[in-house]
Amino acid sequence: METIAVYWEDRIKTYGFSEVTGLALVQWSASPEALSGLGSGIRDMGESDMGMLLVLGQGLASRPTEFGLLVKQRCEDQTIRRLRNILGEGASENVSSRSPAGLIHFYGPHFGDRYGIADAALRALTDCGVPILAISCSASSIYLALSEAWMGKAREALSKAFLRPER
Amino acid sequence: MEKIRIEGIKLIGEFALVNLANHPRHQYALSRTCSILALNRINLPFISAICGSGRSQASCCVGVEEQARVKALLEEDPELTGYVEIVPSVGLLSVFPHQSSLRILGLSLHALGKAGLTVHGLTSSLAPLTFVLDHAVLDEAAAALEVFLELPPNQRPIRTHFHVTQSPIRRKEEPPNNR
Repeated sequence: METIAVYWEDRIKTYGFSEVTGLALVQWSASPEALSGLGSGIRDMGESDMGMLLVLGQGLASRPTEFGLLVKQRCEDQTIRRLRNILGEGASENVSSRSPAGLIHFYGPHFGDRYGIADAALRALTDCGVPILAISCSASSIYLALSEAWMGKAREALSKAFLRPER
Repeated sequence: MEKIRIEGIKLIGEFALVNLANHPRHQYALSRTCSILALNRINLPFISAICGSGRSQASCCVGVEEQARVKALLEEDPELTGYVEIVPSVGLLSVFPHQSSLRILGLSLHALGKAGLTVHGLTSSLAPLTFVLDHAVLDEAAAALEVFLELPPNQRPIRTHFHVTQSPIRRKEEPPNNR
């Protein structure tokens, strides 16, 4: 059976935006051989009630995997210290952080099955000169990490491309 | 060792992974990539990108049947030539819910690393924590995770057998900016 859905939208419908501020994006890289030890260390970090707002990673054949972890700003120093400890030698240059950061995330109908959604978000921000720290799209959600200073302009730009439900 | 209870593991694929790295204008390059693919009605079910640092990288998935077309489209673009790398056969493995838990993230990375599996990408969203792995090892990866994560009784990792695509059908009277 085939079902055909056609979207009829001047602005892409969403189920609403959520925003969080007071965050830090901690970034590091790790080789595939270090993955098991890295995982053990991150598990131990989780024992101390630290949480994450977003995690992302990208690996290339020719380079170590690059990781990003969005945490509350009050956990920034602790996260950096513990990651440096886990990663060992050379980690002080490897682990870096950007703060204060913010997060805008939203989801909408069948976002994961439709082309053009990420394009609309990225184009809205790039055309307005809003730099992002990270973007993650999976399932029906889009997560955008930005410098906190750009949150207002990002919200404004995204509101032109995406429709937020009326309250 | 006590296992962490989760609600499920989902396996989806097959996809091709498009990596973008070392571009001097990374956000612009990623946006351009997404625009080219949107213009050609190619969906991106997974994107993970870090921008704005000296170590900017991006990964996105396209349907494996679109691989040749995507490669041609991106390689013929003068702004992207030389920055694109394609991994031909990957799948997505999602653990849910992640509960914003570093324990679940850490155990998952540990399990996959211990099994010697390559993680090409990962990201979290509302509930799932999604890993990009070689398509051929999805079942092996799920088994490795089940050593540390406990599924509900009588539940096995779910493999989705349907694929949704947005129809290219257009209507003459649709709004000019319709997506």
